[in-house]
Amino acid sequence: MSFLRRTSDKVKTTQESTESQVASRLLAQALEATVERTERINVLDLSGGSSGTVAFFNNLDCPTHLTFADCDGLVEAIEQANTDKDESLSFVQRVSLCQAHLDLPTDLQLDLILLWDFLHYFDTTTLEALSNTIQPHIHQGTRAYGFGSLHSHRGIKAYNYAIASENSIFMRPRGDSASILPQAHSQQQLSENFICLRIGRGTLLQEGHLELLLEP
Amino acid sequence: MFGKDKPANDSQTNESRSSSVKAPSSASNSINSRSAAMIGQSINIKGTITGKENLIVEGTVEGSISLPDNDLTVSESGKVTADLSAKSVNVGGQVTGDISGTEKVVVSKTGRVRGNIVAPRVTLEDGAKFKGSIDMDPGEASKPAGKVAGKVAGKVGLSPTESSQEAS
Repeated sequence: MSFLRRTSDKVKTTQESTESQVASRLLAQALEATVERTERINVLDLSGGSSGTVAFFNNLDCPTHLTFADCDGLVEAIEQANTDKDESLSFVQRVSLCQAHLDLPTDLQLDLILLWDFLHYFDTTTLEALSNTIQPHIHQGTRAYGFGSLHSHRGIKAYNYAIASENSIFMRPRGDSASILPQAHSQQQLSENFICLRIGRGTLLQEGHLELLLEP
Repeated sequence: MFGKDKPANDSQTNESRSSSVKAPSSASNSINSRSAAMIGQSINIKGTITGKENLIVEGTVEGSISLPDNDLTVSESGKVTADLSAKSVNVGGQVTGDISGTEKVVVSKTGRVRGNIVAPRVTLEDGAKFKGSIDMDPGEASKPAGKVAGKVAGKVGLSPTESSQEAS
């Protein structure tokens, strides 16, 4: 049984039957830690554009710069490049692809990074490349929010995510929109390869799912 | 990016009152309350469009569109490769370029935008495709930090003291 079904007492089915609103404990902390430190919020969202997240920040009083990264494109580009070549992409090539798809301005300092489950779409070498790409944009107040799996061998299901409110998120099964499925990394793998941030807190949800708050 | 520079052929510059602009059809629904000019589906324009009336784009535009005091709608059939600037921008078609709205920008469910959006308020409807960044409320960047922190702390439902205890 999926995490969503097990949390049915906390789930409110929205107008679209496949989309659910799920309670979150760490999202509020990530948001609060961010906005306490800075007036203008610089947010990187790896999800590639979601109406809920835009609507949420639209309702905040403080100015927000919201960057949507093309992580789906990055995943496909890396897979395609690996398929086309005899040898796997080098680390430098992966960094170049990450930079191209994130397209972050050089001087941008990120206050909040919405990782969602995208770290699990990359192999460990690409995780390092992604970390290398994001590192220059991190400051002491940066916080990141994402998901992990307590038991990585159980895998992780593919969802589209968005912020619903300060303490809840929208989750919608990706279905056919996900050409590549996520492979769950253990917390140790994340810590060893995505080194620009460390896991500060983890809250166990249902079925071994974790929501993670990451810090510098 | 295309549209940053002046169009190569100034002779093709078009004003919104040019002959290629005609009265709107009833199907164009975003600017119904006031009269609006319309670039029809079969019209292709390359150049700079400026004006002082609302505009609906159902055709193809390459260049730039600037309507500082008026509303701009790119309808579902509209294909625009240009930087757009207007009081209010509603995108139901395809836009490649930066969008600036002094009041708001709405990307509706059929909208496809590749570029950066700057506006006090931005709405991305479910189904809309967007790649780029969104800069919201840029005109209020001079607010005191304490005021903003207090407001947002209230929004997340925790006082700063409570949040410290939670995190510890």
